[in-house]
Amino acid sequence: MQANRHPAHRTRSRAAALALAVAAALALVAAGCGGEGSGSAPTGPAPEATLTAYFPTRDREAIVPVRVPRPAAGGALESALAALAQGPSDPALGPALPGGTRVLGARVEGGTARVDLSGDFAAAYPSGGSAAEIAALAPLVFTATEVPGVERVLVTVEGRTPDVPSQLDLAAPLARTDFPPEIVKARP
Amino acid sequence: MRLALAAVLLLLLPGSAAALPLVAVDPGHGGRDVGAVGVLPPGTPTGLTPRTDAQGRTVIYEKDVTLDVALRLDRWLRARGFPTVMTRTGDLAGGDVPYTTASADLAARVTIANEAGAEIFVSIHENALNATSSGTETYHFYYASPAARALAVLVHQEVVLRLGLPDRGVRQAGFYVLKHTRMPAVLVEGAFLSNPREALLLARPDVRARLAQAVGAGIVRYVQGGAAPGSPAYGPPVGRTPLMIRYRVTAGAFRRREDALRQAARLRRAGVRAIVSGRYTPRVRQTLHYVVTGQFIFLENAKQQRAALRAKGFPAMIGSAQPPPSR
Repeated sequence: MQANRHPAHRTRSRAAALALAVAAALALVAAGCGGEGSGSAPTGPAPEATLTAYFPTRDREAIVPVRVPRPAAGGALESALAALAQGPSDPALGPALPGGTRVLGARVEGGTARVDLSGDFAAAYPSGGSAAEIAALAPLVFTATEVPGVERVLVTVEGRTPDVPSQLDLAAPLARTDFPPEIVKARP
Repeated sequence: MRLALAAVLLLLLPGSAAALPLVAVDPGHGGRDVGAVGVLPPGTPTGLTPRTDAQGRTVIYEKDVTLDVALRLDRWLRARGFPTVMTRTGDLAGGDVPYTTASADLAARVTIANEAGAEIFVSIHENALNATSSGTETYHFYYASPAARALAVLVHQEVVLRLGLPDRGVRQAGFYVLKHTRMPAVLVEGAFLSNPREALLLARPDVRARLAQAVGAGIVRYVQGGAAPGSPAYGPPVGRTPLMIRYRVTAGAFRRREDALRQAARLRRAGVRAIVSGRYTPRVRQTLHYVVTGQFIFLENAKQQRAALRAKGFPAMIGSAQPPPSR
């Protein structure tokens, strides 16, 4: 039966998988992005030259942290949001903000980033579906909370609580703990 | 069957049937908030209010599906002696009032459950993302209570078992109704309306009935203290006819059960869930012990599972989930 031919096949595949895993691990170490958070890798670029932004995969099933060059001007939060609005350079990733949303303003107040978005955000917000809502908000919340001192994000649209049919509590600041941790994936 | 289940509940719980917990049943969306929208083949009957979009396509609204499933769940629970309270009963926002804002809608749902003293809160939703997203998710708010997680796990297991769609896992998220209710609360995303095939499934009244029964069975297991399927306290299965599951993915078939069990153990060590199921196999005229790693409605999902097994170095075959006709 099937069982007769599988052991050799399995061994070969396992060896291949192991080789791949080792290669991937080496690549990560070489790129200096093996660690998490804002700690700087000794061989990597200076920490102030880059920042971490989260972009969704093309199918929007996951978000991926990406080190991107930090614009010369502007505060840490403004820079992070500018990078987010600009979008990813990796073609495997998609835009982070729905439907051409622009960032109108951002400031940090006592651990909360208050991020004001254009009306496009409300217009493009999904009408339903937890997965779609999480995909619409997680890149913004995870990117802003990479900024030192930011723990939560209060989203407004043109200065007001967004009038969208959300299952999340958008009248209150959102934290990473409002999202399922498994949506964060390593590079695809 | 139903009497037997009720009898089990009565034995397990001190006092009368009134000791069963009050369940708040929350049909997601409603009124102006239509929820996710699925596109159906033209003229597909749904047993729900017929809906068309601006381009004249036949569509199905999440708000209609959630209300239908919730009403079925409410009936199912009441038939088993559970007191229930619904957060809406018509095509309206929470509290059966016209929809104004998301915060007013959600606050009304939470207030109804909290003020009624509900002990279990179940929010019924359907998911959306892209056209190939597929499967069931059940949410709880991790920081609410361990009981909420237990309820989520049990409801999720039943829905995955009885719908047979891909298991996207028990997840945690800070949804309003999960954060602000005072009792263990879960939000069930049965299937994806953005996936045309799953939208077509949700268009079927029998599938919606099965989803409602599955959620109900999960609640019963939670009330029974998390009894596992097969244990005496679990009670008889609900809706046992496997109408929908057509394919199963096996990682080997063995003449000796011990060999099958060893293969299942190898799979588990590789992170693959597997059970051993004996079945008379006409081709070899004897019972073979199959190592079953999943059962599926859609061939595409079965193929994904087969590819995942092969990527891990296991043999994999897709077979029929239905036993062959008897000899």
